[in-house]
Amino acid sequence: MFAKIHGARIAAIRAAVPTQKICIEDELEYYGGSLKKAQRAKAMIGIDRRRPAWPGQTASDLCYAAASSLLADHPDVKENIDALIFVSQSPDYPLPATACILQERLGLPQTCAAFDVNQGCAGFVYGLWLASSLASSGCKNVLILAGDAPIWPRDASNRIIAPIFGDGGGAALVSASDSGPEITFSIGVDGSGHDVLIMPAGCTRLPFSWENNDDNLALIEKFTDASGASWRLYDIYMNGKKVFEFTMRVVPDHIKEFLQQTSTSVDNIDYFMLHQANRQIVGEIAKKAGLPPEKTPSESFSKFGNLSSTSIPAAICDLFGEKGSTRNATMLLCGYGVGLSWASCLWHSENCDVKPVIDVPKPENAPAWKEKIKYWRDKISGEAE
Amino acid sequence: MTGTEFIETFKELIQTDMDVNLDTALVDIEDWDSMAIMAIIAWLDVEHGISADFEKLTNLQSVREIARLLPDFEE
Repeated sequence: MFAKIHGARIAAIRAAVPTQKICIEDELEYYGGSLKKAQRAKAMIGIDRRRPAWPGQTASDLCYAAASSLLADHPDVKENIDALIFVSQSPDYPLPATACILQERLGLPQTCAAFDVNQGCAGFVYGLWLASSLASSGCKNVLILAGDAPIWPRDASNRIIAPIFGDGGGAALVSASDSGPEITFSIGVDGSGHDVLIMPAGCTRLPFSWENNDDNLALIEKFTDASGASWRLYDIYMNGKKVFEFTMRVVPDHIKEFLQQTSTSVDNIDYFMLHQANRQIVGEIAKKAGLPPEKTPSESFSKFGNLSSTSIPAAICDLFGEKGSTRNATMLLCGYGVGLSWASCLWHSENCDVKPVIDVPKPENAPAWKEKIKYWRDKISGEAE
Repeated sequence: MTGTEFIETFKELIQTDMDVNLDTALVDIEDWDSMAIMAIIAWLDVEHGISADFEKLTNLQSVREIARLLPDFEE
């Protein structure tokens, strides 16, 4: 898909991460207890610090924090939000859409359309495309919220996933605009790779059983692969090797083709904001696509971890936040990952309002697991009336 | 590329300070892990236009077999 969109403007971006911080030196067990091996991982792929969600803190909470900051700085917009899009793989509930819940939490008008998009690392660009399309076709303002936090605390014994990922929430305001440059998108998918980054259980293909608890235990019990990494069917599985091969095979050529389609040279781009999968991958994409390293930031991975759909807004806020605006920078944004999917956006940013990445503290009085069970049972049975 | 040059590049790419020569078995290199394989795959692809995947590299036995993937490798 290739689309040039006129009549929309990305007016503001925010990103929020939990205050919980884990440093690589705190997790030497992933490196056989060896500081030297940990330092090697830091040197090779950039693992340093990551920000996992606090217990009870969800993707929607982090997105709420980002959106609250954005709306506080744009108070005139709130009553004129025509659409709210929540891009995430970790909704509050399987239903209703988390966007509906966020409409109420944010105090947005009931005339607002609200829906979720199940997307991951390409999700922020997907969201910008949807929002730009809506803003150019009648919506005054569209709020995109893009974020992920795991359904439960990451299993520390999963040494493929746990040491790399952080959690976050991003927000972007896209407004209708009569003036201003076009925004161009290119999006693709290869569903043959759907199973190299997947949560196999918990939905309709492999649901929980109402009748046989042994079947349910099979979905949550841990098992190991040939390398010793541990997994569960009701958890994220990533074949890192296949994801890496896909990234190297597809993403650099996609970027080069996108530059050609838009008649844009590397010299015309101020920054290439790539999904921060890890510093090694960002560097290799840049080399293969011919992107100057000084124009291809890769440091936010080392500060926050792989933030999935929040990684691009976090990288933008990390780069421009202290300046308060993107200062007319022309950027190529590129997300890639689960699906397998990829999405790029050529954006002449004008003066998009940005702030530094926001820290979100530990939630106070987050209900315990049993309290939540009791709450819903009482509510549904009528005992809470 | 000579053997000496390859060894130097190889050690830098996989970030090892182990004493390695062309006949060193990959299985004996402690730092020959998935990060190292990714670094070699990317280097072959980006610097030399050579396509290799994890399966190909994990089936190789020695450092020399990796070097032989380079058309200009001088034994």
